[in-house]
Amino acid sequence: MIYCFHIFACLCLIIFQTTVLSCFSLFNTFYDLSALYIVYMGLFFSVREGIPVALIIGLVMDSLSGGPFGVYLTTYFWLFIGARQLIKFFRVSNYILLPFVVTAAVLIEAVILLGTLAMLEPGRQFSSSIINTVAIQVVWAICTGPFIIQFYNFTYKRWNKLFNKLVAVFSHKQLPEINRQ
Amino acid sequence: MIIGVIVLIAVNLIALSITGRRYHSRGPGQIAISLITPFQKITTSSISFMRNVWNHYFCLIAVKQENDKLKKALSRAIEKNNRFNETEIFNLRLRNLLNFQKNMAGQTLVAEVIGNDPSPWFKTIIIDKGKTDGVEKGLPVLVPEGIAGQVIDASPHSSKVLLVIDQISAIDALVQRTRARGIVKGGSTGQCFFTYALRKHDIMVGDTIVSSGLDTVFPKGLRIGKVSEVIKHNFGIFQEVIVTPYVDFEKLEEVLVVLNAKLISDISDK
Repeated sequence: MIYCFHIFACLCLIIFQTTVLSCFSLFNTFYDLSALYIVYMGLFFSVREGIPVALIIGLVMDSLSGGPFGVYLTTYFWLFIGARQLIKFFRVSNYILLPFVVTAAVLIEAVILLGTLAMLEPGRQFSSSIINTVAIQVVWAICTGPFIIQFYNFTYKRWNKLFNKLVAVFSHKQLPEINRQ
Repeated sequence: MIIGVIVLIAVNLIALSITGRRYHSRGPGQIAISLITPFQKITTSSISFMRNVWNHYFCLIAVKQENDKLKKALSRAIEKNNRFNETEIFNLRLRNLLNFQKNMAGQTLVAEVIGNDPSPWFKTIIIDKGKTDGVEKGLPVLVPEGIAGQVIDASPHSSKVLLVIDQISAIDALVQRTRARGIVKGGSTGQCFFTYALRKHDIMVGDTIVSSGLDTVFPKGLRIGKVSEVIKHNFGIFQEVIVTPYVDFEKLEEVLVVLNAKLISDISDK
């Protein structure tokens, strides 16, 4: 069930990013919200839970994007690994660190994406506008990233609570039937 | 006793008949009036004030309710108006597309843009037509303004289109005025480059770049963009030409997929 929730959440984010967010020119160079979700998963969830979600979402993003296939798969995998490594040294509850974590994630994603492009498409020209794009993404990430991670966490907790309640209600209904049998 | 009572009644009646004829009060009566009227006035105006407040309060509620109703009606009207405007614009766009479709020699398919690339690094769109509608990889995608891109991936019900402004996009093209040949490649800032154009060719700012049809993807003569800058270095055999596409890629909503582009290319070549 947990996988379903995370995948559903990521799909919602992707749909939001590709349809709603792209309508506003202000968000033309907004950073990748699913990448942030992967970082969130790396910080708050186990490898068993996070890796499959990162891979599935990477595949979805690769299918939707015009980039070389596998570039998002790689990016998300390494972002997840990076976030897992990070929590070995820092406490997850340390919210002061979140802007730095988010910034690092955005930069890592940009480096992996551009690195892969440079490697796979040698003819591709990189102009100075790339620096602008990355800079804008970093600014967006610093300003909004920590709040978005908090929002992810809050949503997950609420959903988990609701789900547990539903399970409890359902099991209470089932018990008398089992006793009767 | 009885006589006393009768006398009293008679006096009273006489006094009453005398005082009853007077219309103007004098003396104590006036004093009483002077004393009472201010209070009466205060009381009356207080009551009047209270009545006014009461009435206006209810009136305000009614006005507020009416205001709410009017506001709702206004917002409905605005929404309706907006819907009409949107329909009008949509209609106009479709008419343009239809005219363009009629002018196109080949079989075309109208598709709606349903998504953009999730990353700012790549310039692709997702359209709502796929293999079941006859869309295949490699088909050209157009809009009345010019070439939009090329289908790079087709699934049963949707397709991915690589836009002209993506860096890996390339179209064999001509300068409409001088027929100078080159390749239009996507840039990184929403512009394109007309590469491999020889220095000796006359290319000016404002020239229109059209597809040459030699790449066998895009039919010949479709508009791509307008030359916005020409840089001729003192060295090299090529000149640097920057092209601004005619298509506004941020406002793409409907596109045309040319289903038999190869056929058209072959016919135009002959």
